[in-house]
Formats: sequence, C-alpha cells, structure tokens
Amino acid sequence: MTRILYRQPLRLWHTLRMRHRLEALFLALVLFTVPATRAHAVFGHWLETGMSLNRLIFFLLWSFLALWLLIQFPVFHFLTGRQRLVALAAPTPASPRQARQILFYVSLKYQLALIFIFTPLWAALWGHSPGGTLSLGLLMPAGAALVWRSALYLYLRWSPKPWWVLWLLTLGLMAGGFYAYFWHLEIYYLALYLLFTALYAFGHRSTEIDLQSFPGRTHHSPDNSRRYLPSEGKKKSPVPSSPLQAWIIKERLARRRLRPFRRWRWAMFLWAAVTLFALSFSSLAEKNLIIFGLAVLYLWVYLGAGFNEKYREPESPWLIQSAPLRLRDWWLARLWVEGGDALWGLALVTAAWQVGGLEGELLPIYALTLIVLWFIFFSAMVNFQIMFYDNVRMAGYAFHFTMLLLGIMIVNYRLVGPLIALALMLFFSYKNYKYINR
Amino acid sequence: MITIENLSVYYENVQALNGLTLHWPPGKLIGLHGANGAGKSTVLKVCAGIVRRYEGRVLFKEKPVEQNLFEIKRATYYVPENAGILPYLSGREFLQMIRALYGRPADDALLEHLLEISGLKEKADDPGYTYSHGMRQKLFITAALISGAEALFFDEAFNGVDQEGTAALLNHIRNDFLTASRLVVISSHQHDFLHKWRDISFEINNGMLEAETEL
Repeated sequence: MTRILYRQPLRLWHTLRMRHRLEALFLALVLFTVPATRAHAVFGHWLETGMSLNRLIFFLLWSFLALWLLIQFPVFHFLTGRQRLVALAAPTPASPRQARQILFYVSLKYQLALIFIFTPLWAALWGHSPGGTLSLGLLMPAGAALVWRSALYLYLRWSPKPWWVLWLLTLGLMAGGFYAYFWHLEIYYLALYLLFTALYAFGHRSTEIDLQSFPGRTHHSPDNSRRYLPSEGKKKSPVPSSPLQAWIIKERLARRRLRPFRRWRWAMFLWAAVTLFALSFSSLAEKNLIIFGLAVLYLWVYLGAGFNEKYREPESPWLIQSAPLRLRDWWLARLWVEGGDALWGLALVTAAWQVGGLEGELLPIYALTLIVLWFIFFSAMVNFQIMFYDNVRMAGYAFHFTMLLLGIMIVNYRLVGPLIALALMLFFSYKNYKYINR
Repeated sequence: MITIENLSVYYENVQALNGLTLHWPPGKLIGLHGANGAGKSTVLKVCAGIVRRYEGRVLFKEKPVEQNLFEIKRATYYVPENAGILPYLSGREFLQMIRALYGRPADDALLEHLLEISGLKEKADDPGYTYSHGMRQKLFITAALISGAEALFFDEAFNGVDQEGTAALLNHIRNDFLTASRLVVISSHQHDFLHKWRDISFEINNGMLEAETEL
C-alpha cells in the first residue's frame, strides 16, 4: 500500500521534462538555501547572546510539533473525508494498517508546507552543532509520527463530540509547553513524548479506524444546482460578436455563476476591509507598512483561489488546444474581468492608508508598488493557468512556489525580487505566445 | 484539401502512427475507421494542429500545417469523444461563444435550425451541467457546424448520440454543410456506422493505411 501511494508523486515527477525538473530543483535549492542561511545567522546570534543549545533545540522541536498538532485536527475534520482516495477506500475492507497509511498519506499533503519551512531551519543548526542537528533530526519525525497517530485515535474516539474541544485542549497543551520553555523546564520534552506514547498505545489497542468517520465526500455528492447559478435570469448575457467579446463574456459568467466564488469574493473583501481598517485605526508604529504587507498577502490568497477547483472551473483542454483565440485577447479578457476586483481592492487599501495617516508623498509610491505586485501575481496566475491547463494542481504549485520565491527575494534583495519575477513572467508569456498564437 | 505524407507520431516510446500517407479531397465526407488504438485520433489531432510533434509532412490546402498553426485552428474544428462542457454556460450561450470565437458568425436562423435538428431546442437555455453525455456530444457537433470552419474532424464524436439525432445531424452535414470547399472527417471503430453518408472510407491499422475505398 505504502509503495502504491508514494509512487504517485514519483510518477508526477517522471511526467516532467528534464528542463522542468532542473527548474524545480533550482527553485527548491533557492527556497532551501535562502532561509537556511538567514536562520543560521539568527541562531548564531541567539547562541552568542546567552541561549543554550538545548533550549534552541527545544524551541525548534516545540514549534514544529505545536504547528503539526494544531493543523492536524482541522485537517481530520474538514479535509480528510473530502479526499478522493479516502472516499474511494471508505467502502473497501481496508485493514487498520492500510487505513492508517491512507490517512497519513492524505494528511501529509497539508503538512508539507510545515516540512518545507522547518527543513532549512533544521539544516541551519548544523553549522552550530552537528550533534544537536542529528538529535533534532530524530526527535522531529519521531515526535510527528507519535503526535499524528495519537491525534488520529483521539479524534476517532472523541467523534462525534465537537472536534474543537480537542483542538482547544491541544492549544492549552502546547501553550503549556511554551511556558515550560521560558521556565527552563526541559523535562517537558519527556512529558510530551510520554503523553503521546500513552495516547497512541491506548488508542491503538482500543480504537477502530473507520474511513467513513471523516465528514466530507463520503457523506454527500456535490450538487451542481447549488454550485452554479441558473443561466436564465434578469441579467441575460449579451450576444458576442468578436473573439475577445466572446471570451470576456465566458470569463465573466464563469465567475458570476459560480456560487462558491461569489461567496469567496465577498468574504475576502469584507475580511480585508475589517482587518485593514482595524489596523489603520490602531496605534501601531508601522501600521501603514503592515497594511501594505497584509494587502500583498490578501492578493496572494485571493488570486491563489484561481487554482482551486472550488472557486474556478478548470479550462477544458479542447478549448485551450483548439480554440482560435489569440493570447492578446486571452489577457485582455482576464484583465477586463478581474481588473474591477483589483481596483476595488486598491481603493480599499488606499482608504485605509488615508485613515492611517500615510504621508502624502509616500501614498503614490506604496500604491504603485502594490499595483506592480498585483500585476506580477496576476501574470503568474494567467500564465500558469494556460501553461498547465490540463493539471490545475501543478499550476497551483507553480504559482505558489513562484510567489514564495518572489517573497524571499524581496525580503532579502528588495528590488531584485520583482525584477526576477517580471523577467520570469515575460519568459512564460513568450512560451504561451508560442503555444497559442503560432 | 489535406495531404499526409509518411506521417509518424510517437507518444513517449509508443508509436501511434507509422509512416501514414493519404489524401482527403475537399467536398467529401470521409469515414476513418480502425480498431481501438489504430491511430485515428492521432491523425485527426495532427490535422487540427493539436499534436505538434511528428515526423513527415501534413499539408492543409497545400501549405504545411506546422507553419501556421493559428490559421489551422481557425480553419478546422476538432470534436473529441468526451469533451468537457462549460457547466456554467447554457447551450445557446456556448454556441454563440463558438461562432464569435471563429470570427465567421453564422446567422441566428442557422443556430436555431441546428438546435432544432439536434433535438436541443428545449434544453438550449439550460446550464451545461444539466446536459447528459449524448446531449453534450450533440452540442459539440452543433458547435462545429456553426463555427464556419472549413474542415471538421469528428473523433468518435457521435458515440452516445441517439439514432434520430445522429441521422438528422449527418443528413445536415451531407446535404447542407458540405460544399466543394469543405471537408468532414468522421472517425469510428464501427464500419457500418457511416455507410449511408460517407464518400470515401479509410481503414487504418497499427498506424498505417490498410485500405481506401471510394463509395
């Protein structure tokens, strides 16, 4: 079973051409090296200013396990049951071992970001203490495995009582760990491991693993009449007379008639309005810079939904492969349809800056930078949607990794980040131009 | 209209076409037959500019296909066996989009006529997700007919379409759509499927031409 499951990412890797593999490896190297070198310097500073190595190891271990555990319960409750693999395996007579392997495989997907973040941090410790790095390298996976298994049994035994009670208990437990860190109580290591070992041993003997216990797709099938708005109504779409107009109408209706997207757009807008204005009324010293950072984060999250099949219907391959639509029209249609949201967002952020008292000469600089970043994000979204039209997930990975790279480059080298991103977008646009226009 | 010379196509290590040579003249309804995996879809995809890596020569109106792929897209329409529908558009909106995309808009009367003969009139304003498999195929076939493209490639596209609808659409293709400058190629693994309508029948096997029969 394990071999079948973990062969899937390997297969995905084998579908990539050599150049794409090299690009992915290069990107991974940058994403690993930059935070690792940064973290190495920060750890060095901490160790020089009096922190003991044991406490640093404890802190890293605690942070990793705390996040691992905090993510796990929502994953079990909201996401596991929706996985196609779980839905497929639910009616089969899977042994407890097989069920556990399936569940770990699907939950690992949501913990990957955590692993990507902590691997460079872990590696950064090597320069200060190879022994400590090795011990952390043993404690982290061992702790993660113990925590995961005990959380699984705890969740299953606790069900159908409200899952968030467990989540709150977890929060309390990990908050206790943080205080233990301040009080120099390294014994907390042992207590934590013993607790999870006990929970695992207890659950393993007495809990049955039923894949149908996870709410999601196993309980209901998607209802299209609830997903889409009807095509008839007061707002009848106009009859297109040119390729550009046809694509604009198609893109507009793809958004207007998708109920989850409409809800998502309103939720994002309201959430952004509340948080940005709350910040602008606050007395934080750097509030306008924080508003800027938060606006960029919202852009990332909002446009990232373009790779989520819940919020955007994936393009039909035949349409991309054979529709006579020039890349120019493709871009213009997307700009026309999505530009409105961008303008509303910009107006919101500008108003928050005005309320926050941003100086007059800084306002256009901040706004212009935000517009440039929006354009980079937007270009990445459109380019990757075209490039990976037959694989929405791959397109999403490409988008998020590019954004991560951009973020790291901006933090480290300021203007170099946007310049590299713009160059990348130009290159990808050229590739798409070659595919679509020639 | 389409000339294929010594065409070979490889998917990874699998050879889909093996030195295929044939000629499809304009004004004809061509039947393309062969067993599953014979290479029918690949030939049509090469002609429509979808498969772009191949050996040999493919000429559309005496010009190499690879030299102007965008014009090939405008001049041809490829309908697969299982095309994904746009679930948020109604059938009518979809057809309106297609005719505008191809830049040679047919008039509304033809659109209504095609909806009528394909049996989609009643469903024309319903969203795409409510269409059954057969209805979707009818919609895509109708879209090809309304696009104004000169060469239509139906790749097992009639699978799932009811007998009445198939007859009505093929009658329209035979009697109204086909002119001296147009070409229609319909692939099917069933030999008898097109016997009443086709002009020429091509049989391919293992990526090679096995027989050509003018009827």
